[in-house]
Amino acid sequence: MRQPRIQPTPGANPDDPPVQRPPQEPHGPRPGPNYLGIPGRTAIVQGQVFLVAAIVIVQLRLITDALYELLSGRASLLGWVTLVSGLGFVLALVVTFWPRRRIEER
Amino acid sequence: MEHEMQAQEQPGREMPSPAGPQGTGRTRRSDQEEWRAEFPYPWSEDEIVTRRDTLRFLLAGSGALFLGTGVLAIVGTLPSGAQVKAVPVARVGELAENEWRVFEFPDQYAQGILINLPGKGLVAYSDVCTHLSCAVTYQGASKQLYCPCHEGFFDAATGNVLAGPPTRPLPLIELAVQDGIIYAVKVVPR
Repeated sequence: MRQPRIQPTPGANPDDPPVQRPPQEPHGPRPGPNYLGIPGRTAIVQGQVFLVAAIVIVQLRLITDALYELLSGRASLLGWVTLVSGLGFVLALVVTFWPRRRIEER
Repeated sequence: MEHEMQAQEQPGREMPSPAGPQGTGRTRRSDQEEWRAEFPYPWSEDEIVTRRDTLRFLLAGSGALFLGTGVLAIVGTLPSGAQVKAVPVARVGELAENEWRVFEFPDQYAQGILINLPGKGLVAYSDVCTHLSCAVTYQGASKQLYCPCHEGFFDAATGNVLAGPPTRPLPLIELAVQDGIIYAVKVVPR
């Protein structure tokens, strides 16, 4: 049985519009076209929620390990665990407040 | 299952019809009513918790977890309140080689194991297995400490894990000799 020949196409779907690079700004590529509107803000806040939730999950693991170490009588690692948890909190603060400030500045 | 039984018991209740556009519509309406009965939240209150509220809640949780970890670290640095007294555990020369004895230390709720190891002399460890806290015993033939609960083995010379589920070595118990009596002085967690 003869196989149909597959013609190479420039994209996955020939009907797709041509891919264009996003416009560049001094600090990097500009966000999507409607990033200041409601859908854009929703997407940003959704991303913030996911990131902070991931940080909280890591912190839950850290406090579990800290309690285990404390009850095992080994306190030498607890300072480092607290430091990492604090860095997670600082990161969560940055993730929460930094994008909102940038939106308000524009 | 419970819903099906309830539906069969109520003859006046609208039952889903398997075929036809009317039956499908009736099924959908019936499902929706059931859903509303079980989850009676009006649409106007559906957006009480916004994404930003969730974000704030997560941020507060992150701060609380950081504070909690810090409190644990501070508690870990506090000196233990009770002063441990030296406890006499044996007389010098009382234990022959490969003999062992269990003693209460630092209080009546915890025990240690004193072993006269050939070629090394007296060693003492906490006899609480670091896996799930069963009591370990000494096996003279292999010079190992054995936990019968989950087949854990420790080196009697060092207290380190040789085999089995434990991952941490047995805590050491420091010994001191005075006036021909061997005292257990201090537990050294590892």
